[in-house]
Parts: sequence; structure tokens; C-alpha cells
Amino acid sequence: MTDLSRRQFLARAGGTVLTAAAIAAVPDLLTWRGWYDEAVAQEPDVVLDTFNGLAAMLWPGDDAYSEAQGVTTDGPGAIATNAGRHIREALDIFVPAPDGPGLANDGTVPLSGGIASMINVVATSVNPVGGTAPFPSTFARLSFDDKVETWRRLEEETRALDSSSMPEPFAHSSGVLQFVFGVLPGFVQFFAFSEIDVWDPAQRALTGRPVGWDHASYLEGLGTTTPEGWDEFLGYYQNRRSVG
Amino acid sequence: MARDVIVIGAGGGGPVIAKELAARGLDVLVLEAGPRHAQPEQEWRHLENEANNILTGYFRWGPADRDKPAWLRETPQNSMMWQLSGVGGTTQHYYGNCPRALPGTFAGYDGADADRYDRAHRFPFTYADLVPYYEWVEHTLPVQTAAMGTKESIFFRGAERMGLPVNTSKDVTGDSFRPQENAILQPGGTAGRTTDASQLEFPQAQGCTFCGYCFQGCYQPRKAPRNLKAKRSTDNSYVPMMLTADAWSRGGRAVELITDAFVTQIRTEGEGDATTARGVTWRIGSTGEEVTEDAQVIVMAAGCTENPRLWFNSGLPNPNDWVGRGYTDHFFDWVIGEFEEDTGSAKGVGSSARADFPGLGGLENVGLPPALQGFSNGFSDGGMAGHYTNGLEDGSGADTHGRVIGADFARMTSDVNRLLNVLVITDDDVEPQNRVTISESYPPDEHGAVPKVVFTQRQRSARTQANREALAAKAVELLRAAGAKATHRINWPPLVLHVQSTMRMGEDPADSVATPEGEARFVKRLFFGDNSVLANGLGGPNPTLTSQAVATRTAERIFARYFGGDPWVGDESPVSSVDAVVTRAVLDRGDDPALMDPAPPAAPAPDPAALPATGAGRLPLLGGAAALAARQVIRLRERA
Repeated sequence: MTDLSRRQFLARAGGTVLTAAAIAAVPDLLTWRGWYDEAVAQEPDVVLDTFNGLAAMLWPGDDAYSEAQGVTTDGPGAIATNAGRHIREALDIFVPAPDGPGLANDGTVPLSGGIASMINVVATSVNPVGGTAPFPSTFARLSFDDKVETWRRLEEETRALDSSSMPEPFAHSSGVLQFVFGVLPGFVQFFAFSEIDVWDPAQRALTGRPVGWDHASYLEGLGTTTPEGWDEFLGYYQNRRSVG
Repeated sequence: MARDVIVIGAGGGGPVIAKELAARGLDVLVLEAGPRHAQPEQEWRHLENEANNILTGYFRWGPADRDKPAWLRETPQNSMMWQLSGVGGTTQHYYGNCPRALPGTFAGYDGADADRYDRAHRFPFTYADLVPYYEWVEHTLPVQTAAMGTKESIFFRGAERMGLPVNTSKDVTGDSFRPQENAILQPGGTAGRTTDASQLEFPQAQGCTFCGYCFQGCYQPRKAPRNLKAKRSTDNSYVPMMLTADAWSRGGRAVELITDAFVTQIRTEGEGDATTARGVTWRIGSTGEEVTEDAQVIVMAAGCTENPRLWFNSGLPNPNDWVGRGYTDHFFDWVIGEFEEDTGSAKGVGSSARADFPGLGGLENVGLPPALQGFSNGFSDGGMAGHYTNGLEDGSGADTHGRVIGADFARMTSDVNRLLNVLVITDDDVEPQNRVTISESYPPDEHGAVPKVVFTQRQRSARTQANREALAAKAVELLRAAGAKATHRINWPPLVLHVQSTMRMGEDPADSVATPEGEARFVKRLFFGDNSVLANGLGGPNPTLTSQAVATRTAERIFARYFGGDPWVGDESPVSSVDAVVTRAVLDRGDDPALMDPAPPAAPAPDPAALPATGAGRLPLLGGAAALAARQVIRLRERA
């Protein structure tokens, strides 16, 4: 990462850390509101586009994002599961908004904009030009290898940052970023294979069969029904029912 | 008038102490921050996001109202904590695995391999001292030798080809493999023998139906009384017992359970060595109202993260600076094997096979439905397979290291039932820098300052790291021996599922928070009743059974020290949670009315005089517990 891009990255990181981790440690509400505004200043479609780019990297399919990165597979991938949208929504409810003195609230601090911004800053440092795909996110326009290189820098650069000696609220802020970039791929792959995209919360029922279930050959022939049991009992190892 | 005992937390440990003391006739109040899922057949689903989304699922660390955000912890490293609020705690999603601890982690152990364990942080009593408590809990749950499905048969094949011997004891004395000792009622009737849902209702089906959804909560078989559900999570075992203690124990007294009650303060009087716990204050989630009650004894059973948080937020003394320190988590790792045959990975109990390697830790098979399979691959500290390693080296010999991504991931996940996962469970050292403190970065929430959980995974002790590498290599060896055509080591960051030892009991007062009796060293009349009091990571075995055995021992100590009673383990026989007298009480009280027949049986209440004194003289229920319990229920219903 170049010096310039590292400064940009750190600036963005600081903004996100403030929104994510340190907001109420700053006594002046307007201070953190300012950071908050910067973090969410990204256009929403850029944010979604960024996480779509991540979803396609992790599980490519026959969609436009996968084609743009140059790695596709036959059939639907994570894009078909709307995993990018579900990641964005999850990030926006991850951190509860701070409670005032004696006042609990049920709000949350949206993080998706700040995190998408950081991903795109690093993506630009990997390939300032990017690809030609008509996506607003720099990251989503990159080739598969450039996306992986972006994620390598996000993980390794945040790991290399030593914020342990910084004053609060920045202390351990790089650790918060390690957490974010470490767990995001797992969350994407979780959402992509779950029922989240076809779940009707009002009816508490599935509206269709999840794309990931078909891909994983899961519950084949059962449609949207989950089993109450399987004829899977094979007995007891060496017919032993108890031990001493 | 003050209660006898207030227990904070209705997870894996709190209900154990509550049930034992309620059986002695004490007035026990249990406070649980989360919800009680009293009607699991209606409330739960076999769906992974609905259950396991850590932000919105019904199994999360958060309030009962799922429209409200989850509760926050600061984790300043790549890691994830996976604890649950609610009655049953994390046993709601556990696999029921109940191995005993390694004898080498206890005081007095002088085996030839004694130096292979964390000798500086042993239990302050001998393994033999704990065995009667193990037996008591194993009978109460009950614990049984697990049945086998396809994935277990493949795991065993690999272990056999490695040349490992099979262990036919509950105790581990050398490298070996075995079926898990599980707190699961093994299959009876039609269970495990059909996929036809119409044939899988109780009592036609008894025990585990092999549905494959342990992690989403066990409500199998349908229409079984709550205490006869297959998995013995505390909400299916100890909680029904504690709520009906007057019915199955002569002189017993039913526990009062209050949910949606987040304890925010432990109140004390006195100072220094004379500091004594007097009561607690909790916040009612739905109203915000604060409530205070006093008790003669307080038991902290809120978990390894929340116990230290509550301690700090209550301003309790910490003179040796060990409150919250020494967090052990078995420093998990994960190896995925690809097979050309059906593995049945998404079917059956989550894990029914294990291998133990004293001094290193253990391995167990894990079967998963697809979303959790995806997460288990994507959660890594080892970079992207074939691209970068995030600064880590792999010594396991696996074909790949780090997350499998791109077209390789698409190929690997094309059939979830051709995968076999092996969980690496490391015998990890107690290290002071792995700890819980109070976050200075995040704002306090409605319950006070939030906890900050620090794991320095890359600076763990040389023994811990070497153990993990050795076990990962054994996992690869086992999978290949079983026939895997490809192996993938994910190299997880801390996935904090097995939690131990943040309020540890120990031999040395300089590095322990609790006495060998489980009482706080710095606050009288304050005890610990969950995994946090464990002295160490047990050498690798899953912690719940040992936590419950220690909790039973602590209950005896509380009763003897502060209520003038006598110990009972060893002198009496326990009542099993599937005993007919418990079932009758559960049915009578409509504890789970939606599960009852349209006309619930109105069996007469048992004559207390006819009951044995806290179970004295009852016979053990062994392998056929599920079938026996089913016959008992049939008789009860026929009588009604």
C-alpha cells in the first residue's frame, strides 16, 4: 500500500472506528455526528455494489459481477442470494446506538457506508483504474485477483496497525477493523446458504426454496420442508451402549 | 424477608445449583436476562438464519424482543463470540457432548504425562474428588453413549486406520477415539428409522430423531413433554426439575424463575476482607424498571464474559487483578474434508464421535447444514486459500489453508452431504492477557459499561500453539485415512463457543478468584455457578458436564456452609430428569401446554410422603431411558 493510500485508509479507518466503536466516548455529540455523516456519505448503491462485489468474489456465479471479475461458475452464485444486501443490512444493525443517561433506545449506528468506503479506498490503491464494468464501486469493478489483493491488504494492513498505545477511543481500533474484515467473508457465506432471502417474517414461512440449498444439494426433493428426522440411525459402535 | 439464594443466569450452570438447592427446600430465585422459550415447537424452526443469526436470530445474545438490537461486546481482534441469552443459555444450541475433563488438569495428578498439562493452573482438588459429582450429573441429565450415523461411521473409520485404540471408559488415559458420551436421549421407537414426519411424534418416536438441527434448538420428538425432549440442554432437563422440585423431592420447593431480568448490580456491605454480598438489582427489559432483592447467598452464573462485567460494574474488589483474566476457549480450529461418498453431514446429532489426545486436546466430528457450513469456511485468520496466508504458516499438511473462495468454494459446497468437518479442540493454557475488561471505546448500554473481550491469539503460549498445530495435523491425517479426497484447514480466529476460567478457582490465591469451594475469595456469600469458575480449559473436553459437576459440588458447599445442611452426593441417588415423577409434574403443571394432548392428563399429584427423600433408592436409568420414559408417559396418559 502506498503512503498516500495508507493515509487515506487510516483516515477512513478512524472515521469508521469512531462510528463503530468510539462514538459515545467522544463527549460532544456533534463530534461523533460529524464522523457518522462522513461514514454514511457514500451513495447507497455504491455501498450495495461493494458488498455485491465481495459476494461474487467469495461465491461466483453466472451473474454480471462474476463476469466483471473474470471468474464465473455455471448457475447462480452469491449474487443470486442477495447476500450483498443482507450483509449491508446486518452491518447497519450491528452496533446499538449509545444510550443517554437513564435513557435506553433501540437505535443502531449504520456501519455499512463507512466499511464500504474503506474497501473502495484500498481497492483504488490496488488498481486505480479498475475494470470497465458499469459498477459504481471500485472494488466491484476489479478483477478477481485484484479483489483478493484488496482483501489481503485490508486484513494484513489492519493487523499491522498497532493502535494499542493510542489514546481512547482509538485504542485497539485496529483490532475492531481486524474483526470487521475477518468476519465479513464468513457472514457472506452464511447468508448465501441460509433462508434469509426467502423468509417472510410476517408469516414466519419461506416464500420459496433458497438458492443456496439447491446449490448445496440440501434437502433435495423436500422443497421448503425441513425434516423432523432422518432414517440415519446405524446402531452403536461395536454395539456398545454404555461405558465404564 | 430475604431469599435464601438468588442465582444470576439460567444457562448451563445456574439451573444446576438452583435445582440442587431447591431439592433441599431452599427458597431460590433464578434471574435470566433473556427469554424463556416455553413453547419451542411453536417458537423455533429448523432454519439457520432464523435461529443462528447473531444479530436477529432467536438464539442470540440479546433481549427477548427481537426488534431490539442485540447486546454488544467489544472484541478488538478477529474473533466471534457465540453465546446465547435465554433459559438454557448456550446449552440451547450445544450438541450435548459430555466428556469428562482430563485427570491431568487436577491437583494431585502424578501420571507420567503430568508435565504435558498447564500445571500452573490446575483444579484445586483431585479428579477423584469430582468423580461422584460427574456420576450424579450423568445420571440426572442423563448422559448416554451416542448412537452412530453415517458421518460418525466415517470418522471412526479414519480413527481406526490411524491406529488409534477405542476408549471404552468415561475416563481418558491415552490417545484414543470413541463415540461421544452425550446428554441426548438415544433413538427409540421410530426415531432414527424414518423420515416420515407423521411417524416421528412422541411416543411413537422417542429420543433423538436424527433431524440434524441441534444448533437450532431441540424440540424433538414432537409432542414429548418438555423433560423428554431428546437433547438435555438445561431448558429440557434441569429447568423442568428446578421448577417442579416440590413434586419430586420430599421437602423440595419449586424455584421461582424470572426472565427478561438483567442483573446490573451486586450489592454488598462491609469493606475489604469483610465484604459480603447482600442482594442484587436487576432491570426488567420490557419496562426499564429496576428491582432489588436481598438473599443470604448470591450465585453468579451469567457466563464467562458477563460475570466479570457484573463484578466490575458493581465495584467489587479485585485485589489480585485476576477478575476476568485467564479466559480459555480451546482455541478452536476447523478442517473440512471432501469425500466422494455420502457423509450424512447435515443429518443426526451435531457431533457423536471424538478422539482424545491427552496433553494436546481433542478432535470431534461436526455435521452442519449449509449456512453454518459456509460460515465455518469463511471465518478465518489464515487468509484466502491459494492466495495469501495473512501472515500465518500451516503445519497441518492440509491441501489448502485459509478460506476456500471463488470457483473452488462453489465446487466444494456443491453437496453439503459429501463433506466431513473436524473441530480441533485445543488444550490451551490459562494466560492472563486473554481477559474480560470494561470497554472504554463503546458507550455503556442500559445495563452499564459493556465488556471488552481480548484474545491475543497470535501471542498464545508456545504449548497452546504447538498443541493446536499438532491437532490440526491429526485432523488432516484422520480425514485422509477415512478417505477424504481433499482437506482444507481454515485456521479459525477465536470462535468463542467453549468458554472457561475467567473467575477461576485455583490452588494459588494469587492467580484465582474463587476458593476451591466455588466462593469468591474477596466477597463472602458470593459464589460462581458456571464455566467461569473452572480452573482451566479441562485439557480440551467440552466444558458443560464438568461445569455442572462443579456446580453440584458448589451447591453442597453452599448448603453446608450457610444453611447448616449435610452433603448428599455419595449418600443418595439422584432423580433422573426423565424420571416419571418429573414427567408427571411437567404434565400436571402444563409447563409447555402447546405440546400436550388436547386433553392433558390430570394425573393426581404425587403424595409427597411417598416420595423418596431427594431420590434416595432410585435405580439408575441407563441406555433405554427414552423408551422407559415413553412407557411412563403412556401409562400416565392412559391413567388420565
